[in-house]
This record gives sequence, structure tokens and C-alpha cells, in this order.
Amino acid sequence: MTATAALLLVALLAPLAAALATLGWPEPTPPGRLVPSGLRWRRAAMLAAGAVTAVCTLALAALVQRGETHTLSLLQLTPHTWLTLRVDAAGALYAATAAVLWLLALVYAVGYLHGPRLGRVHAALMVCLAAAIGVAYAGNLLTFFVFYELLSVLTYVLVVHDETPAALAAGLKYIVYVLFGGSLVLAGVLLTFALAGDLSFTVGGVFAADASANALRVAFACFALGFGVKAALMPLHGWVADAHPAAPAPCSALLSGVLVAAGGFGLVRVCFEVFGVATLHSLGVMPWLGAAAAVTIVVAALLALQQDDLKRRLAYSTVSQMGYLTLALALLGPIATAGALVHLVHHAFLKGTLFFCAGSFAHATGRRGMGSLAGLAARTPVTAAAFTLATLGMIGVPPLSGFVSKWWLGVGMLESSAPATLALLLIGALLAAGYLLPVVFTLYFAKGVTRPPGVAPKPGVATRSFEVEHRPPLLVAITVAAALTLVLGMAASAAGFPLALARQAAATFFGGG
Amino acid sequence: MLAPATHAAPLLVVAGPLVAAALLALAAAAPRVRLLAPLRAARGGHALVVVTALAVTLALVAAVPAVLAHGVLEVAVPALLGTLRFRLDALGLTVALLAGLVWSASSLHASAYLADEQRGRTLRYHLTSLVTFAALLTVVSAADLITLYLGFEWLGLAAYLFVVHTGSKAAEAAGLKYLVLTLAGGFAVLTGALLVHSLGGGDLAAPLALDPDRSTLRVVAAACLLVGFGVKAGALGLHTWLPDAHTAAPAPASALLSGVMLKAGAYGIARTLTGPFRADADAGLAALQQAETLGLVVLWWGVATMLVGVVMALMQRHAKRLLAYSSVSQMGFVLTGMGAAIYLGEAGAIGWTGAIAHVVNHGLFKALLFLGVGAVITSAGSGELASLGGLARRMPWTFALVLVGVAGIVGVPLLNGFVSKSVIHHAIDYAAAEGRGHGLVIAERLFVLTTVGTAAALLKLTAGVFLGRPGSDGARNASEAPFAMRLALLPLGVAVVALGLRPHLLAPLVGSALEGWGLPSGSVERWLTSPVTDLPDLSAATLALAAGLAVHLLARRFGVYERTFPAWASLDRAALTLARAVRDALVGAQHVGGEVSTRASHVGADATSAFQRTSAAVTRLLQRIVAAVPRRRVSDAASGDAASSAAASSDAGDDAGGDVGVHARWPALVRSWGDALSALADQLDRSWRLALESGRMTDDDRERLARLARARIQRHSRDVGLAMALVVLVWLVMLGSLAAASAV
Repeated sequence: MTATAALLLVALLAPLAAALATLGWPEPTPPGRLVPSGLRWRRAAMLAAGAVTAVCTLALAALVQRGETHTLSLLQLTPHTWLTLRVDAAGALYAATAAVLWLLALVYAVGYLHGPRLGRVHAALMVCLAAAIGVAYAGNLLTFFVFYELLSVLTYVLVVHDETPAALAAGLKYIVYVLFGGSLVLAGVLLTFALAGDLSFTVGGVFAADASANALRVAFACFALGFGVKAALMPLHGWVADAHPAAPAPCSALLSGVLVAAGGFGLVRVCFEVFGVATLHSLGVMPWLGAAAAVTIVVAALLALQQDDLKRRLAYSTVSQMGYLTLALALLGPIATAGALVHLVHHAFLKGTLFFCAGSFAHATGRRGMGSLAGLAARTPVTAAAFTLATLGMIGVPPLSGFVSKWWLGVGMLESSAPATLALLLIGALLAAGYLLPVVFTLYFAKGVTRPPGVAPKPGVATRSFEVEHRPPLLVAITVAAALTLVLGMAASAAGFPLALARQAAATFFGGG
Repeated sequence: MLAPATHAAPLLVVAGPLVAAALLALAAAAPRVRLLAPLRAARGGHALVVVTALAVTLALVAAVPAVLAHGVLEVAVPALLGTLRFRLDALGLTVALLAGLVWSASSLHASAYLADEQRGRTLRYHLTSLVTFAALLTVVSAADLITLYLGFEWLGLAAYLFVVHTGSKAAEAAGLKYLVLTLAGGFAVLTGALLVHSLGGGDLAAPLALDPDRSTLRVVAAACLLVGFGVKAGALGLHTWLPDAHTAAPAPASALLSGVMLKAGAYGIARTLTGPFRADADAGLAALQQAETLGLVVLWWGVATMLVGVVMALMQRHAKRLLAYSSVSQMGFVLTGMGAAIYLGEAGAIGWTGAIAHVVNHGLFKALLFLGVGAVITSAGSGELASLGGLARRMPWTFALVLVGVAGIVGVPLLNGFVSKSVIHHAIDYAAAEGRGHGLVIAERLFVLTTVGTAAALLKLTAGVFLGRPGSDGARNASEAPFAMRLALLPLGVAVVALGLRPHLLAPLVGSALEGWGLPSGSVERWLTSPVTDLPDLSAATLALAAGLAVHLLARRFGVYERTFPAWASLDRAALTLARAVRDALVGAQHVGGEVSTRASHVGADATSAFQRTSAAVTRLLQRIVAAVPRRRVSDAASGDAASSAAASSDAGDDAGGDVGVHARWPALVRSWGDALSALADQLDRSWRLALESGRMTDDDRERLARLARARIQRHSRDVGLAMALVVLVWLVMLGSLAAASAV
């Protein structure tokens, strides 16, 4: 067994082991103790597993950059298909993103998640991590589907964690949408198998040249609609705006950064390794996908402008930003694809930061409306600064990470001779400024809204915010995520950073490397 | 070759203000660190900013010989999209020197202006000042469009904090307008940079080859860059942020905005024209023609800007607003000079000489004027011309220094404004003489008209503030400005005079810049020094002054100043109308979209209701069948009616050999599945409706519902689990069929 295989297995199994372990420690608090002793161990196990997975995925990413790839067959599912893991550039990129963001979210969750049902959500978090790793390293379509569905279905537990009616309603909406999407993906998988007899990921596609174009179009539609639900492609985005606000903040960050991105990642895999660039060109389906993405970018951003709930605003922002990814994919150019992949990574950390901050704000004020944020920066300076930085990143101000991905997307769009799409990119960025900057202004400049004049400050409010800014886990997660925004931007072109991997992946997909 | 350390000079200069900003922030954030204690005191903060600005200026002065000797200082930092490349050439150095001087004076002025300010806000002001300074230095030392954009964006964003510094409603409104235009301008620059990059350019010194197939794209790129930088330069149509922002900002910040930051826009346009869109003689006819058109557009844009700006300035009643519109007008001079330079092509050196000199000169006297007016506002408590007056005797020092600035801007010979305006005038004359029928003779007339207007507007300002009778108690009780403010005015006044008497001090830097663009630099010194001895120039200036005085007196006599500008002519109003129209259209579209999605949701809800009813009916039917079937034949009935469970169950039934207990389980199982199904349908229906509602609920509603419904919901969440199990079961069947298919 090589080092690569070992790293792969550890990355996949460590969270599963932690999930099993979390079930082992009892929940009840011993008399006279504030934190249940079992909880402390469980958190330690989670963080350890998260860290191990993050380190393994980063190591794998480094190995991939040195040109090492590896395929590992685990289990024979059917006579023709195995449960196969494989490390390639795109997978390593997605895995590292998911694992690092997950680690940050776990750290945040330690400070954020309290109260009942912790065991359930902890176990779900760990299994979801394993599933996300599986999605990233899946070596064929069937493996991908298995992990993808596992991730989708288990995320339900994260969404409904609060068990408020809104959360349960959002959860139901989520599960209906996602199962519908999953069924379409499954239909796509079956069609692919029927048409090609092969489910492996092959650059350039698995279909024979004489395959029926209409059958291929149907298969592509199944995949596009199926993954479109997850990637929040309009009009299949309905679950996003409900699930994000309903989920606890660390889970919202993961929903945006990893779950929605999983849909985009699925599209990447299907486009380049099931259909192949040449087939897609001849099918002529990409303009349709691009049109849907274009509508998504603009309409979702316009919807985001109108939301009062900060997390809803961020959720629509995710819908809009994921539209970039789909749009860039639809252009079928190497630079645009690299831009899409690197945007996936950078967006994950930017949106993660924003959701972490939103969680802290909600925690500090006990409310979620924009009005409750007025003047909050004075009480939560670090969080507000991180939010501002991430906002600037989302707008695409250099030298933050958002600028790098936007630049690559823009260059890719021009390279694919689609200058009109560049306008979309910039409109989206301008609208991003429109829906995020007001939040920053409210944080810093708005006054007198939280407390009507003449009313004494509630004693609880001040202590709560004090508590939030003095909870190390929250602060650590927020600062590291915000710092990543800066580091990923400043050092974007350094070897070992997402851009290099994304370019390597794009080169592979387009047959150059 | 130069030592690498010398080449790193631009970087060190950019880093200076950033280090100072970091120190200030650290001092505020870590109150226990003894070492930083001096910086926490108000004086320490002021001193740090002034010293930083002075140090940067000195460093830049020290870099002059190296730049003149070698043309450029270059350094590349591996960051962002590969490398951030910095290159300090003569043009950048000139603007940087101007920035250093103005920043030093403004910071000194601010130390007195902000004396009564809260500590936190003083800190914010200083941090903003240092960050904008660093951003500006980045802009002028950028070697490619990406680095330039980096600096430009931060310059624009950080300066927002200047605009909203006072926190008043007017400041907020001005800030919003400023930010919208700045962001839009920033994106225009980004678009232009992307387009230039995709056309194979990006370096600010390398002309972009014209590919006949993509010549439209090249035009679009140039337009984007011009518009983007035009916003910052206050070019006509994009200038509307400028009067509001300058009036709302504290006076020292207005001096920075007008004295230096507008120049960043002009600098950007200059780089656009001389970098990617430069057409050398061997560039081919198409490129030359494109350049000529570009020059003509910029020229006319500049003429329109200077004319409209000066008319607006004449109509203003607030000292800072008047100066702000005058800045718009003066930037028009710069644009005109640059346009003429490009239009003249090979012979355009004179246009560049005038434009660059005017950038420096305007920066000096406009900063001086804003700082002087700031001193007046501090002493008299108002900037409204009506409530000022008669301050010449109460503030003699300020008056004297402001008078130097006014004399400079209106073009009194022997002062700097006269020189650069005359050179630009000559450039227009040449362009008109070249005369390819573009009406440039008219442009020359309009130029003269603007000079007259400038004189009238500035006379109005001087008379309104310093002469006549005081208009308010504040003006009556005013006393001379604090020493630091007067001291801040001094170096600017000295520079105005010095560059008037010795204009050729600028010649080496301008010449070096021209050589960098492949233009002859031999006559620069002559162009700069000749106006003082040139009779037509002198008489033109004198006539313009006299005419300006006449205009001012007549306008006052006939009450023109009391008129307000017609509302329909307001660009703001037009923009607002447009914005409202767009908003209304969007709201309308959203209404339609909302209607569609509500319908769709109701269809979904109806579907779930139908599902609920159907499943209830099926359940009842199943129950009836189960009840009707004799016990012994249960397994047959089950295999007939519930196919999915039959396959596994019939085996079990056969194995049990007709055991009644086993048979009895079947009806119960079927019933429980039926129940689960209808419960699921019920839940699906309710939750769907709940989800429809929840978009309209407030937090309180949600809380209330949460308390009421928790128990019921928890019971139902089991059903969702069951539903998931059902779907997974279906998949397993499908996967099984896949396995079967692959086995065949």
C-alpha cells in the first residue's frame, strides 16, 4: 500500500471513526459540572479527526501537484462497477477545501453549538465530512453518486438541528428538493450505463462517437437538473434560501462552501469526465446551461438585495456566486474552467467567513434582522472587521481571494470569446457590493436602531456580546477564515495554492496535461 | 545597473504609510504595550502621520536623481496573479512628490482641525489618510494595470471614510453617491484591464498592438478605462460625486481629495493614453487613427468639463462647493491638454508638458485653497459665503496665503497657474492650426472663456470670504487660524510662487517622462519658461483677469448669483430618475416572478394535497382489502396488492408453513406502511404550506410557532426519516436492477 492510498483511507475513515466515537460518550451532565465530561472528549475527537482529514487532504493535494495520481478499488458493487477512490487535481482541490473549511466549522461549532441534540449533529457532521471526502475522491460515477447521496441525505440532520418549525419546514423542503435532484442524477447514471456500459471517469468522455445525440442530451439534462438542484441553479434553488437561515451558523457555512459546491463539482466531473469537451460541443447543450446560470447570477443577486435576514441574504449570494461557476463551465474553455474551480475554493472560504460572522452577530443580538446589526461593530470589533474583509473579497477587491477568481473567470470569458458574459460577472460583483456593503455600513455607521432613545440598555445584551467576542473558538474560526481570504489572494499564484491545482485540473480536462 | 536596493525604492515608499498605519492601529488595539504609548496620545498620532508624509516626500526627492539617470526604478513582488510589478518613472515620481507635499501640509493642518475630535474618530481619520496615501503611491508606482487597479480600488474605497467622517446626514448621502460612482468606476477599470489583458497587453509602458479582428474590443477597453479613471478625475458626467464629497469631508481631507486624488484619475487617463493605447509612428494607420479619435474625444470631453465646471462654480454659495466645481473645471484643463497631446501625435509633447505641469500646479493651489477655506470654517464656523465676509483683517495670514492660491489659479503671471495654462493654450492652438476640421478653433475660444470664468468664480470666493462686511456673528468674532494651520499653508504657497518664478524646475521630470514615451523633450524647458516673456500670453492672461473681474461685478450687480440652477439640468436628478425607472422595472419583473413562483408553489401544494388524499384512500382501500380477506389467504392478497413487500414476504410465509401468527402480522404491516405514507403526505402538505408562509413570518411569529408546535413536529420528523428510508429502498431496487443489467 502506497502512501497515497494510506492518506486516502485515513482521510475517509478518520471522520467515520470519530462519528462512531461520538456515539460512545454519554451526554448527560454530571452534577456540579458545566460541560459534560463526555462532550469534552467528543469535541476533542471531532477536532482531531477534522485536523487529520485536513492534513491528509492537503498532503494529497501536494502529492497531486507533483504528478502523482492513484486509484484504489475498495469494494465490488456490481460485476462491472467497483467502489473506487482516485486522487486527481480537481478532486484534491475540492477535498482540501471541504476538509479545511470543515475543520474551521468544527472549531466554530465547539463554541457555537450548545443545548440538546448535540450527539446527533456531531455524528452527522463527521459522517458528512467523510461523505464529502468520498465525493471528492470518487473514482467513478457510481462511487460519486453513493457518496453524493449520503452527503445530501445526512445534511438534513444539519439543517433541522434547531427543530423549530421553520427549520423543519426548511428541512422538508431541502429533502424533497435534494431527493428529487438525486433521483435525476441516478437516472443520469443509469442512462450513462445503458448508453456507454461504463461508469468510470474518463477525460474526453465515455460515450462512443456514434451514440445517439438525443439520448445523450437526455442524459445530460438529467445530470444538469439533478446537480442543478444542489448547485442552486435557478429555478431549482428553492431550498437554499430556507435551509441556510434555518441551519446553525457553522452548518450554514458548510452548506454554502461544500454542499452547494458539491453540485458544481458534480457538474465539473460530468461535463469533463463523462461527456467530454468535444461531445458537449457537438451536443450544443452548454448555451442552455449558460443561460440558466446567467439568469441565476442576476436574479439571485437582486433577490439578495431585498432580504432583511442576514443569513438569507448570504444564501441568495451563494446562489448568485455559484452561477459564476456554472456559467464558466458552460463556456468550455480551459481558463474559464480553472477560474470556476478556483472560484469554488475562494468562495467557500469567503462565504464561510461571512456565515461565521453572521452566526456571531445573531448570537450577540439574539436576532437576525439587519436592524439588529446597527452599530454592532463597536461591540464586536474583530468579527465586524472579518466581515468587512470578506465582503470586500466577495466584491472582488484586490488583493483578496475574490479578486483572483474573478480575474480568472473574466480572462476565461474573454478567451472563450464571450465578452457579454463579462458584463454578467461585473453586474454580479456590483450587486454583491449592493447587498453586502449595506451590512458593513449598518455594522459601523448606523446608530440608535437597537435601542430607542431614553430606554436603558438591557443588561443581558451587553454581556451577551461580551461573551461572543470572548469565546475563543468563534474568534479563532473567524480570524483564520478571514486571514485565509487574504492569504489565498496575496499568494494566489504560489505553488501549492488552489490556483495551481485548478490550472492543473483544467489542463487535464482539456487534454493538455 | 543600479543596486537592487535602489530599485526597491518604490516598494519601500509604498510600505512607509502602511507601516505607520499598522503602528497606529496596534497602539490602539494593544493598550498595554508601553513602547507604543506615545502614539496613543492625540499629539503622537498627528506627529506620526506628518512625519510619515515628510519622510516619504524626502525619500521621493532622494529618488529623483536615480529616476532621471535611469528612466525608471523597477521591482517585482511575487503576489496575487503572479507578480505585482512596480515601476517608478518620472511621471509617477512627479505625482508622488506632489502627493507627499500635499499630504504633509494636509496632515499638519489636520492636527489643528481635528483638535476637538473624539479619539476614535481621529484614529480613523489618520488610518484612512495613511491607507489612501499608500494606495496613491501604489497607483503612481504601478507597472501594470493589475497593480494600478489594486491601488486605485483601495484609494477609492478608503477615501469613503473621509467623505463620511463627520457622520452627518449630508455626509452619508454624499458618501453613498461617492461610493456608487467609485465602485462603478472601479469595475470599469477592471473591465478595461481584463480586456487589455485579453488583447495581450497589461504593461503600462507597452503599446497594445491593433488586431483588425478585435479592434472593437480595443475601443471598448479604452472607453472602459477612460470612464473608470474619469470618475475619479471628475470628468463631466461622472463628476457628480465631487461637489458633495468635497463639501462633506473635513477640510484637510478635501484638500487631499482635490489636490491629489483627482490627479490619480488624471494619472490613470494619462497612463491609458500613453501606455496600452499609445500609437507610435510605426504602429500602422488604423492604430494611429484610433489614437487620434481617442485624443479628440478626450480633448472635447475636457473642454466640456472645464466649461460646465466653471459655470457651476460661479453659481455656488458655499466656499467648498465653489472650490469643488472649480476643481472639476481645472481637471478639464488637464484633460484638454492630454487630448490635444494625443491628437497632435508626434508633436504632442507640448500638450503633455502643459497637462503634467497643470496637474502639479492645480494640486498645489487647490490644496492651499481648501486648507485656507478650512481654516476660515474653523474660525468662523461656516462655509456659506453669505455668512462670511470681512475676514481679511481678522485673519491676515490666512488671507495672504489664500490670495497667493487664488492668484495662482486665475493665472496671474509670475505664478504657476499662468505657466501651465499658457502651455495648454499653446497646445490647443497647435491642434487647431493642425486643423483637420474638428472645430478645434471653437475649443480654443471655449478655453479662453473658461479662463475668464475661473477668474470670476475665484474673485467671488475671495470677495465673499475676505472682503466686504461679515455676514454672521461667527465671522464677526473670528480670529486668526491656529498656528499649525497657517504653517500648513506656507509650503504650498511657497511652491506656488516658486513654480511660477522657476517653472523649469519641472522640466527634467517632464522631459524624462516624454522620453519614456518616445517623444522629443528638447523644448520642454522653453515651453515652460517662455510664457512669462511672451507678450500674447501675458496680454491674454491680463485680459482674462480683467474680463473675469467685469463678469464678477456684473453678475453681482444684476443678481445672477442669487439665481439657482434649473432643476431639470441636474445630472443627479437624471441619474435618480433613471435609477428609479430601473428599480420600478425590477420591482415589476419581480412581481411577475413572484406571481409565477407563488402559482408554482400552490401547484406544488395542491400536488401534495392530492398525494395526501390519494395515499389516504389507498390506505383505506388496503385496510378494507386486508379486513375482507380471510386470514388463511392473506399472503396471496398481499402478493397481489402490495407488490414491493410481497417478494420477500411470501418466502417468509411459506417457510412458516401457514402459521397464523405470521399471517396475522401482514395486515398490521400493511396498515403501518399505509399510515406512515399518509402521515408523510400530511406532513409534506403542511410543511409545504408552512414553508410558503415562513417567508412572510417575523422572528416572533417563528418563536411562537416553535413553542406551540414542537411536540407535534418531533413526532412527525420520524415520518420524514421513514420517507427517506422509502426513497433509499427505491434506489436500492434501482441499483439492483443496474447490477442485474450489468450481469447480463
